[in-house]
Amino acid sequence: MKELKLIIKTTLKNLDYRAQLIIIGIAVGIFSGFASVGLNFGLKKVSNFFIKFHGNFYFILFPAMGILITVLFLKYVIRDFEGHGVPEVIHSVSMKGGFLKKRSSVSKLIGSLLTISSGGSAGPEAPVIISGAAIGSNIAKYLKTNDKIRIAAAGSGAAGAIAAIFNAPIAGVIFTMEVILGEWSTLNMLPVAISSVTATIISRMLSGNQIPFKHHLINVNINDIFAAAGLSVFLAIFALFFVRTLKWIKLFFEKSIKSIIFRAILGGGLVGVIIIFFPVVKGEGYEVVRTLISGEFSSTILIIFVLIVMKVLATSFTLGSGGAGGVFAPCLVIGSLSGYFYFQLLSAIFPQVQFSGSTLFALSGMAGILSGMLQAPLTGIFLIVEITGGYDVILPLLLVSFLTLTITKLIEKHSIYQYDLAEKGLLLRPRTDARILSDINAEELLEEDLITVDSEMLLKDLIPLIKESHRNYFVVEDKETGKFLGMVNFNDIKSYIFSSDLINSIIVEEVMETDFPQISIRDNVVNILNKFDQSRAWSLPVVEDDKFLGLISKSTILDHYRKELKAQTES
Amino acid sequence: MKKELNLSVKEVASLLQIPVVKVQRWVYQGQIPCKFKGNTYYFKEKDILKWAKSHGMIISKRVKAEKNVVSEDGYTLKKGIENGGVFFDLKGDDIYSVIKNAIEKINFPEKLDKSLILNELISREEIASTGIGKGVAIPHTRRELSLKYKHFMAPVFFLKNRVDFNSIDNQPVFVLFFMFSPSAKVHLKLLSRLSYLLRGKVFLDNLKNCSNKEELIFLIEKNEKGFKSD
Repeated sequence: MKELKLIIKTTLKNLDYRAQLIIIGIAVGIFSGFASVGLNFGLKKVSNFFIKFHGNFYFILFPAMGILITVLFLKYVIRDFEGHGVPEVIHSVSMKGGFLKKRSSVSKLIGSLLTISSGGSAGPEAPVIISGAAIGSNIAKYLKTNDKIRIAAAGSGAAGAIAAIFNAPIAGVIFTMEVILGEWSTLNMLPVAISSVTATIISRMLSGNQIPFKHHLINVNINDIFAAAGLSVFLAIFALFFVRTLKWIKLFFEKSIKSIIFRAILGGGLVGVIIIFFPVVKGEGYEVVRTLISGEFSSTILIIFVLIVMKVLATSFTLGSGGAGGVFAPCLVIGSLSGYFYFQLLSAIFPQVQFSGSTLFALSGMAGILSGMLQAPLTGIFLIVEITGGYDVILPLLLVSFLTLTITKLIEKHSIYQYDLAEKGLLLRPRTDARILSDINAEELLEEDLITVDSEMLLKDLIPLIKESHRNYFVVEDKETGKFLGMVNFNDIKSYIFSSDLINSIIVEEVMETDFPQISIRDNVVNILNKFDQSRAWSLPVVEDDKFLGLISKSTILDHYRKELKAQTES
Repeated sequence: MKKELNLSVKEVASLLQIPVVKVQRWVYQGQIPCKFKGNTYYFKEKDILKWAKSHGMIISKRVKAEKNVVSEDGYTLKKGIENGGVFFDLKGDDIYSVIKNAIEKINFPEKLDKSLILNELISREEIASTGIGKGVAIPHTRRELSLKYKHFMAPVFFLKNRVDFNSIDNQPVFVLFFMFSPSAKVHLKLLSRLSYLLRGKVFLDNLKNCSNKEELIFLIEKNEKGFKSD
């Protein structure tokens, strides 16, 4: 039995990497399929159980309890507290070679079940995404694959999640490429597509091949196209409002409340207050989207506006106070509400103009908000096409998505998933300059064949060494302690070495340079290049604990950069 | 409100420290923001600074700093001697005593500890003689201390009796050029200038016969003009 296990393990590890990717894709797809259906099922069951408490005043306490239990569970039981999912996956695939913790495959699933079912406003997509990604990553780790394959494996988890939750395989693939991996390559496509297909099959087997939101044939006329352009302005405003509020409330909670327990209670309490007055904004909100698309929703402009603000606040409180979940579903709710709001506004201002109805605007609104918030225009477009099963809305969708993206990007440079990483300098997209530079480290660049001299040596005695040296620099160290003091640049002493009177009385320390930044062996090349830019030097010393380790020259960096670029370019 | 500044291609090139042709290529490729006026283009300073910042480029701070460095050309030997003073008939018959007597006569503008400076000067002599031959010595302190001087001075002392300084050419020393410089760069600049002057035989003869301050300063000024810094 043990031998059989070993044979299987060895065979799997030695498989062609394409075969490995297919296996990983299938495994991740199956897991993502079950995870999404399971989470949805759980959410429905638990929410139904809670529904009998609706209308009771103590319902106000539920979100606080839910978020508190979530926080305690994630922090102390499973110890996987930080982050909501998608940014962690992006960080992992862009900088950590696709490694993810094993426990991430379940922690956020359970966390989001607790948060969302108790009334917290958050989406279940991010938890499924990180779970799938963690499974893919850990299968790849088990197979001891290289970074490239592990990254593709982690990415396939995201595809499976979106595909299974929305029964939308194309949107899954596109979301992964646009948001998670940031590049299209044949290697990435394989597991991502397979996971997407597998997850969709699983999801259809378990809950039937139904489109989540029923399609109604919409006749798009020219008025709607014009109106769509105006919609994008509103969507950009709402998207920016959402992004800024999320950021601000999260920051506020982190800065002003040190205890995560109080944070959860306060945030959850506020969510409770909001949902007791506006129950529409609770949970993941798919039901609201459904009624909006089907045209069953009816309300006044003012109330819709208030609902949008409340949804933004409830989501920000939920996520800012430590609740588990993502922003994908809230984006859909805010998008459809914004579209509806715009439609009502339009009908009120131009009562005589014919528009095709609120459904079109709700759908365009969803695509637009996704495009603006996640900076993923194609994901939005394909998701709407797939979840409504209709292609007739494609023109306004295209228009709204790209206009909203452009307007939002004027003010907000990074997507909601990326700004945190970008601010910390942790966002590196594949095959960018920074990505390639970050792979090179100081140790690889070190030139060690320098001649060391002591600080009290006469210039006269240095001259014979110039013949022996391959470099323009001499390293000056303290005679007794070996401490690094500075460097003598050949260019600086050129003018003295031919004057026989001076070389006998100038000592090395009088001609050495000390006024330059030092490089640490732990510096990455981006830091190193910054030091070169600041000092405008051609070579800088690497010094650790006052000991000279070697020299780094700009020309060497270029050399290594080109080799790295060649190695990393797909042939 | 600061008035918006328009920049030419040349100005942008010098701001970013790149060749003009690179700026032109960036304009054609659409990398860098520019405005059009008829058939020509120009740049708004605000746009360029914003663009440079968002692309992680470092701008011209160093250029400004360099302007201060350039003023090192103001560190002439003549100025140093004027700052430090000229003294004649310094007594003493070995390295230690002449330096000690000299230090007592120098007016340091900062409140520096004279005994500390003396110690430093002597310890520098112990590493290697500052006698650079032809009867001239250039006592100075070691690097760490020199960084503490804010002003630079090169006081000159003519000795009453020649003193053996262990110079390379074994000639006893008749004149001391002290060097107190605020940086190693300044020190080397002064040293190069002195070395240049001493190469002239006429200068050396005139130096030996020098009898008052004005004469010395005139002599230095006249000959220093021929020095080309590298």
